Amino acid sequence: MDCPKLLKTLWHAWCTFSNILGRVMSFIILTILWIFVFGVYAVILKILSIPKLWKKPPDTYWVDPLSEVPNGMRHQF
Amino acid sequence: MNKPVYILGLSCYYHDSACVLIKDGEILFAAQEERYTRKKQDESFPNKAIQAAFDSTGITIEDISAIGFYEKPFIKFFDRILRTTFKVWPRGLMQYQYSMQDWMTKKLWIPQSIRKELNYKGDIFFIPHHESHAYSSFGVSGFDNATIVTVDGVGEWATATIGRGCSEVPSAKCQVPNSGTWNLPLGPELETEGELGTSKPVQTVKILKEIHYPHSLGLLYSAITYYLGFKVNSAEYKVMGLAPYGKPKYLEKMRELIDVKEDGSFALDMKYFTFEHGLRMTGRSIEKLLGQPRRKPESDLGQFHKDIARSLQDMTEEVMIKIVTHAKKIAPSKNLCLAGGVSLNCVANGKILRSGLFENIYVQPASGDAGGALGVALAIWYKQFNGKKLYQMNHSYFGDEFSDDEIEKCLKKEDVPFLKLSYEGLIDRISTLMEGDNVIGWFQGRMEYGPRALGNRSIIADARNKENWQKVNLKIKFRESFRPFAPTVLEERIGDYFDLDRPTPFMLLVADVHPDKRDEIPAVTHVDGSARIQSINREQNQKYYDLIKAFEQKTGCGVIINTSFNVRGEPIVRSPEDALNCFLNTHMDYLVLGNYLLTKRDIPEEKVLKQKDYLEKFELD
Repeated sequence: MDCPKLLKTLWHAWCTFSNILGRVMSFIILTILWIFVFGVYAVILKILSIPKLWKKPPDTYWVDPLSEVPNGMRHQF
Repeated sequence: MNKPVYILGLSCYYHDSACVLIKDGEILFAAQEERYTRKKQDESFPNKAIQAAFDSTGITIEDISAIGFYEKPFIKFFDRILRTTFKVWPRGLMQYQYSMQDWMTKKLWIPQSIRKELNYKGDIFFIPHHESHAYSSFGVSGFDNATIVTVDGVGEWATATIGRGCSEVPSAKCQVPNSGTWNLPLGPELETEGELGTSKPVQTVKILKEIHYPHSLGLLYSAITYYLGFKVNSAEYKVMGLAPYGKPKYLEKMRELIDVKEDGSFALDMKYFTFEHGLRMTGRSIEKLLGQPRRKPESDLGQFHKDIARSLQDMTEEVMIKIVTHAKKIAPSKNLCLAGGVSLNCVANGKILRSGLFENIYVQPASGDAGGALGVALAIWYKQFNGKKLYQMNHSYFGDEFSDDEIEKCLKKEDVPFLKLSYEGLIDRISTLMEGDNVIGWFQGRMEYGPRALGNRSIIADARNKENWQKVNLKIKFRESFRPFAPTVLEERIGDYFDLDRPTPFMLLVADVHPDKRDEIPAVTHVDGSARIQSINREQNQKYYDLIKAFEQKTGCGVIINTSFNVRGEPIVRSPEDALNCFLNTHMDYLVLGNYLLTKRDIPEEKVLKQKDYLEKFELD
């Protein structure tokens, strides 16, 4: 069944509005997370990494690769 | 009869999405999604390329034995991106906003996307980004063993790796100096001891050393590309082309940006870069260091910008030489396989070749992220299916092909006058037309895989006419005047023109033009006397070879200009329609589609040169 033109316009308008609303809400929620979750953890990490400031620069920047997980090709990690 | 093994390799969601289809280890189809969507470096899921692969081979998703994705998304997000977010906090809010939304809605759902988009129910495999690069080169190099070096922007954590590839029976252990041994992986067909002794050799890659993000040679190159006003992840090759106009006056400044050790390892001084936390690559610190603000895109290029480009290029070459020297020490071989975006830097590749460290160098034509699709498909073939070794990939014609009927249908639909010629007639006619200042669109056979047009989707012209350099740059490609053109040379005549002793079918090596030949082929000789060479033999591309051979017989010159069939910002043409559109909207003189010849002056005026509308369709790079 074809949707009446007026309803279609309303549907498009609602979708556009909900899209914008979703973006605004995402921004707000992610910002709250950024401050209260990421912020706390980041501060702890920064405190823990203070001793590294006095670490001698390495002789080489080459590092060993991460060890292979058995059957790891089947996973995203 | 055993069912054939079809493997589909995918790369997408960063830049340069692509798909590769292999059957029992033979590459059947390979193409980038940008050619279908007409959006350069398109990152979207390669639906259209996959459909083209199925259409071209006559298979369906039901026939696919395995699908591979070219990196490990979880490591990338939960390890690298989140840890970087914590590290740079409280900076980086906007980057965090963009990346969280992108990852949460799309990039963490790759298995689901693949299953949904393709209605696929079978196995999906993931391998590390740089392992994909390594397999993409070594897996088709034809070498039994090789030193492997991959360098790009960033994968999961790695930005550069050294590895070793070897071809061994799975019961053996592969010796790696200073790194012990590793057990070769066993595929599902090799689960019992009894089968091991009779197994065929498999191509195996082992990554031995890595350099981790944010320290990245590729991102350094991209950051300076950004500083010079060009588009990141797209226009790095312009910086390479600009470099010969400058002097390495800022090499010492470059050393402040990057600390390079004697073993080729390096670290960026992150106070000069903002890509870890910002939406831009560089900020004020680098402007202060280099003494000038970032160049505005499309503004004039001064000597300063050329000197910066040269200094960066010299620094890149220095680091690459050190890396491969160290790689040779820890994974010795006479063969070198290069991969990753930085391996598209053909000037550096040429320097590595001339260093004499390796007898043989192999760089796969889709060396950037598009090549990851090939790499993961090959990794699955070798690791999961214990597949036979592939022959060396010595051409890149794995994309779409159009029959004469399809071409004629397109021409009739567009209502443009054309002439159909025989094979011999076409070769004779075009080789004659090429003499002088005619510029010809050359559309033949299967589309190339990778960023280079290698004689099937090319714009060609006479390399002896210097005017063609400016004509093609400004009136056909509508691109910057400084950009050089690459030559295609008959393979047997490389040594006559260039300081190079081997074929280079993928335009990935730069060598000097012999001083006494520079006046003969000025349109492809860069200001420093170098050229980015493509060699061709008849086995690789019969029609293109015959054309150049006929041109040589008429003129004595075995070299022509070959540039990609597109305008600035446009992906290389894929179909006859794309080629016709490009032809009609530029000052190209002739178009050859298969055996059909179109002459610009015969085209009705109302159909040609609406280039403003045409050019506006493509974002400048």
